[in-house]
Amino acid sequence: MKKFFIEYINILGYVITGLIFGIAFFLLLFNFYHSKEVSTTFTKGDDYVDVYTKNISTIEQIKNNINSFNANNYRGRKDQLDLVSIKSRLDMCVSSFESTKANDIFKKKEVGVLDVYNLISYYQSDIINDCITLQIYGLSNYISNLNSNSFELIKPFIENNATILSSDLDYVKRNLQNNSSYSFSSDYDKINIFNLTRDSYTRVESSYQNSINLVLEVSKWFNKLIGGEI
Amino acid sequence: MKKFINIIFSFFKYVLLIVAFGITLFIILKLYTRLNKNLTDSINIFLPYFILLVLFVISICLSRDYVRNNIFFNITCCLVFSTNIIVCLRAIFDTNMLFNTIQKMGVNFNYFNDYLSFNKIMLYGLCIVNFLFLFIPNNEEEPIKEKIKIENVGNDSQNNKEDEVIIKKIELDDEII
Repeated sequence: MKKFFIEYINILGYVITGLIFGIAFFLLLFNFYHSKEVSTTFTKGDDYVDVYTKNISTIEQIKNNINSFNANNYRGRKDQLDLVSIKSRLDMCVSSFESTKANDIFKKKEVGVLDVYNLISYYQSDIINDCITLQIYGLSNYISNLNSNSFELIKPFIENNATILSSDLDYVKRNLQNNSSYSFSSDYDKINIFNLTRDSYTRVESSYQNSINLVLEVSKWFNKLIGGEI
Repeated sequence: MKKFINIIFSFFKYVLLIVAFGITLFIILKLYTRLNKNLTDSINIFLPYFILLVLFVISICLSRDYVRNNIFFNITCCLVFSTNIIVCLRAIFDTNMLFNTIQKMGVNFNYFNDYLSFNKIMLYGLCIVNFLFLFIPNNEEEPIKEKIKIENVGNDSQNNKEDEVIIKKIELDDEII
């Protein structure tokens, strides 16, 4: 009887040890894999044109649209103070686009997950907050004497886009913050479905493109306003 | 060779247990200081370490060679403690896990917390295994050879007892079959 118990205790002990060995080995390998996964970088190819370089001409176009207004020579019927206010707002937007630290990250050839997170932070602070929300979205509160029909043409477009852009990257940011939680993804998934670093980066680029397009549209509207077309 | 490897693993088992306990204590102290929590609340995290240490000491004191020299058990212990240490080190030093970098807490508690339940399961499992193996006598591994050796000692001159030895050998062979 004693031998029988000893034998079963032996078997039970080895079974539990085997299970623990399996769990520990799984966790160890999984940690190596996870460590490799979170350190994945996104390398841009030689033919990859980043969104900042791609839009230098767009920024120049915005500048031209703004500079077509000179308060000293203006002979139109619109309120000059309002036009000066719009011009200064658009100027500030352009300087935000030009001076943001996000441009340094856009120009990098290789970006890591921390770079993408910093990129989102700079982009949200310098472009979304300082330009889109404060200057462009804030236009509707300051335009007082302009012909209301002129602004009504562009107001829904501004409001809609500014609202979307303001919370556009929140989920990407949350996703990046949460990259310490265990997750499974194979190389196949990373190439074809979702790669945290690459896809978050391209998502920021897409949002940046939408922001610059919004400012361009507002500058075009401003240009038409000065020319008396609307 | 097997004995040499076993000695290494059985030595590292104790060293890694102490290191794993120390580094876990460091993280828990940091977390509890940050949250202004009483350290006595963390007793459930450290309890399996203490139990395991006590069981290790008991197996040394009782000279339970079956558990002390069990190479599979020793390797598993080393693996569990190594995993514990690696996870703790990643929680402190891995800057690619952004929670730590952004929050600037010094330790990625989010990641460490995910691991804690696994850690408890493994440590309590080791405690159970160590406890079970304490019941197994030291000579359990090679009982047959030793019995035969005992019978052979001092029986060379007594021919009538040689027959008994052969009979016992046959009985033992039957048991094996």
